[in-house]
Amino acid sequence: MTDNHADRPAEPPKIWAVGGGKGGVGKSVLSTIFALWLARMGKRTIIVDVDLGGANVHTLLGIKNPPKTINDYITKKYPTLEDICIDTGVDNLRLLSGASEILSLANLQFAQKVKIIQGLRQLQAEYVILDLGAGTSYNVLDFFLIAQRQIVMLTPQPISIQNSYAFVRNAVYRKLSRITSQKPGLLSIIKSAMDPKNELNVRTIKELFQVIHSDGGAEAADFLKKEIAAIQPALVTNMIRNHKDKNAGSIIQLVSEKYLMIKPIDLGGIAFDNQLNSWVSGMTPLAEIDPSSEAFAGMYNITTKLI
Amino acid sequence: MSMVARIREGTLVLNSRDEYERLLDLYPKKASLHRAFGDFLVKQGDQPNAIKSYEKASELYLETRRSLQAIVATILAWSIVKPTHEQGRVFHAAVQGSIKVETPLQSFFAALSYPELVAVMLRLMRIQYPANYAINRFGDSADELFFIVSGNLKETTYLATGKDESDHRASMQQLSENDIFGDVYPLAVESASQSDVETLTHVELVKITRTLLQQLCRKFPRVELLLAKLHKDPGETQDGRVWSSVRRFVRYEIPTKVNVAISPIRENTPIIQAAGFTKDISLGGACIDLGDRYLPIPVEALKGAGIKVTIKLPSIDQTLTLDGTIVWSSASKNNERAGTSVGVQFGLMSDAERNTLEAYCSGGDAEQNLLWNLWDDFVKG
Repeated sequence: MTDNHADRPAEPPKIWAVGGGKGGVGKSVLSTIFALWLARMGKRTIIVDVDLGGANVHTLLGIKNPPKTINDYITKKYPTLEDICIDTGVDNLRLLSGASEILSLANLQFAQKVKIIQGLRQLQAEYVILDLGAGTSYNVLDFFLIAQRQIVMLTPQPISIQNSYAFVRNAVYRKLSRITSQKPGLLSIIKSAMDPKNELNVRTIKELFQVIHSDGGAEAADFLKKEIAAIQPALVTNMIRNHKDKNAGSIIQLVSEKYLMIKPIDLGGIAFDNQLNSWVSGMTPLAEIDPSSEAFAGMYNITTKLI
Repeated sequence: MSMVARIREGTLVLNSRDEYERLLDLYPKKASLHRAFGDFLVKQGDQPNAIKSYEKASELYLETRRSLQAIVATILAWSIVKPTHEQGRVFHAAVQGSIKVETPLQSFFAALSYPELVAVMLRLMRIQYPANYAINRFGDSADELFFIVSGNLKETTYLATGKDESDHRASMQQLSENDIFGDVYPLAVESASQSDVETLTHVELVKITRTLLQQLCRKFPRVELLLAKLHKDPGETQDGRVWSSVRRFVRYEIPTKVNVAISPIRENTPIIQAAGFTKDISLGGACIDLGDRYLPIPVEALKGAGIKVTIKLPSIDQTLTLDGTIVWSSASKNNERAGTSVGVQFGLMSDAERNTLEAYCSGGDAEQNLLWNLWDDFVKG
C-alpha cells in the first residue's frame, strides 16, 4: 500500500454533511461537486458516501465497483477508514464508499456508527464531505450533527420543502434527546414534545424550554438553548428555474427561527442545469464535466461561502 | 369539544371505574379528567378515592396555573373531609407558589392570606348549568358575583349611548374559563344587571352572593380592596365589561395568513382591505401584523373599528371568516421594518367556527400551515 498523503494535517478534518430528507433533490450530485471544487482549490478532500443503503457517489465519479468500502472497516478487514479510501483520479480527492450488498449496513448498530464517526475524525484530509442518505433516521441525523457545516439540500417543490424542514426539526430534537439521554426526566419531556400534537401543548422549542424552566430546570434550559443555537443548517436550493424558486430556503429559515429557535443560513440556489442532468443520466463522470456549466458555477460560489 | 367537556355535559357517558382508569392511563396529567373521576366516585359513594382524585386534580390545575379550578377541586375534597389547618396552609402556599404569570384573577387569589382564602372558599357555591340557559337578564337585580370554572357563555352588555335611557348600544362578548361576571360592585350600592348572560355550552360556575361578600369584607377588609383592583370603572372600558379577567383564552403563537376588511368608525372612510399574518391567535382574538402597507387613516384611528378577519387554514383546506373589533392598534417595528399591528377581539362565533378554530389552534399543524402559507406567498404566488 502506498501512502500519497503522508504529510498529515495537524488538525482533524473539517466535516461537511449534506442532507435534506427527500431523495432526488441532488444530494449526491452536489456533494460530489462540492468535493470536486474543494479538491480543485487544492484542499485535500475525501468524499464519504454515508448513504449506506443506496450508495452511488462512486458511480458519479466513474468508479464501477469500489474495491474497498466502509463495510470492510466495520468487519475489521482494515483497521482504519484511511485504509479504505480510494483514489478517484482527481487530484486531492479520495472516496470512501458506502456501497455494500450487506443489507444490515443500512441499519448501523450504535457501536458501528460510533466507530465510523471516530474514524472520520481521524481521516487525513482537510475536508471530509458526507453524502447522507434520504430520510431522517437517527443514523442519518447523527452523521449530520457531527459536521461543522450542516448543509440541507432542497428543491423548490412543496414536498421537498416539507421534508427539509422535517429533517431540520428532527435534527434539533435528535440533538436534544442525545444530550439529555442520561437525564430521564428531561428526556421524557423532550420525547413528548417531539410529537407535534403532544399533550403538553408544546408547539415550539421556545415553549419546550419554558416547560423545562418551569419544571425547575432553569440551568438545564439555558444549557439546551446554547446547544441548540450551535445547530446552524446551511440551506441550498437546487434546480431553481425562476427567481421565486430562490425563496424556498427563506421558508425553512423563517419556520425554523419561529419554531425551533435556530437560525439557518440561506446560501441561495443552484440553477436547474439541463446539461448536468443529461450528463448524470448518461453516466458521464462528474470530474469530466465542463466546470463552467451553470450548476457547477453556482456550486463554486456556495463552496467559497462555506469554506 | 374536549372529551372531559363532553363527560361533564353528559354526551359522553363513562359508566365504570375501569373506563375512567383506562382514560387516566392514557392521560395521566389531565387535571379535568381527574376532577371528573372524582365527581364519578362521589356518585358511586367512594368518598376516600374521590378525595384522592380531587387532590390530584387540584395539584395538576396548579401546575398549569389554573388557581380557580384548583380551588374548586379542593373545595370538593374538603367538603367530604374537613381539612386540618396544616392541609389548609399547604394548599394556600401552593396557590401562592403557583402564580408565575400575574393576571388579575390569579393575583386576587394569590394575594389572599390563609384565613382570607379559607373564608372565600367557604362562601363559594358551586353551580352547573346546561347550554342555552339564561343566567342573568339586563335590568334584573344584581346580587351575585360569578366566576367561570369551565364552559363558555355569551354576555350582551348594554351601554347607554344618548341622554335618553332607552338609547343603548349592545356589545357582545364570549366569556370563558376564569372570567367573572355579575354587577355587585360597589358592594354597598344596590344595582341592576347591565347585561344578559346566557350559557353557550354546559358550564360550571362558582358564585358568591352580595350579602356574603359584604359579611366577608367586613371581617376581612383587605378582600374588598382586592376586589376593587379587579373591578374597572365602566367608563374606562370599551366593551362594557367591568371585571378584569385573566387572559381569557390560551394564545397560540401561530403565524397564520389572514386577509382583513376594516370598517373604520369615521364616516366616509372606505373599507380598508389588507393582508397580514397573525402574531398570535386564540379563541378570543388575534394580534395581527399588517406589515408596512399604506393605510388611509392614522394607526390610532383604527381602534374601535369593525374588522372581518378571513383566516386561511391550510391544514384543513378551509377559510374561516370571523367578525371582530380592533381593540388596540400600534405602529410596530419588526427586524427594523416599520409596520402596523392591531389587536382584534373576535365577536360571537358559531359552534362550528369555534370548534374549527380551537382544533386549528391546539392542533400540531402550525409548522405545516406556516410552510404552506409561505410557499403560497414566496414561491408559488
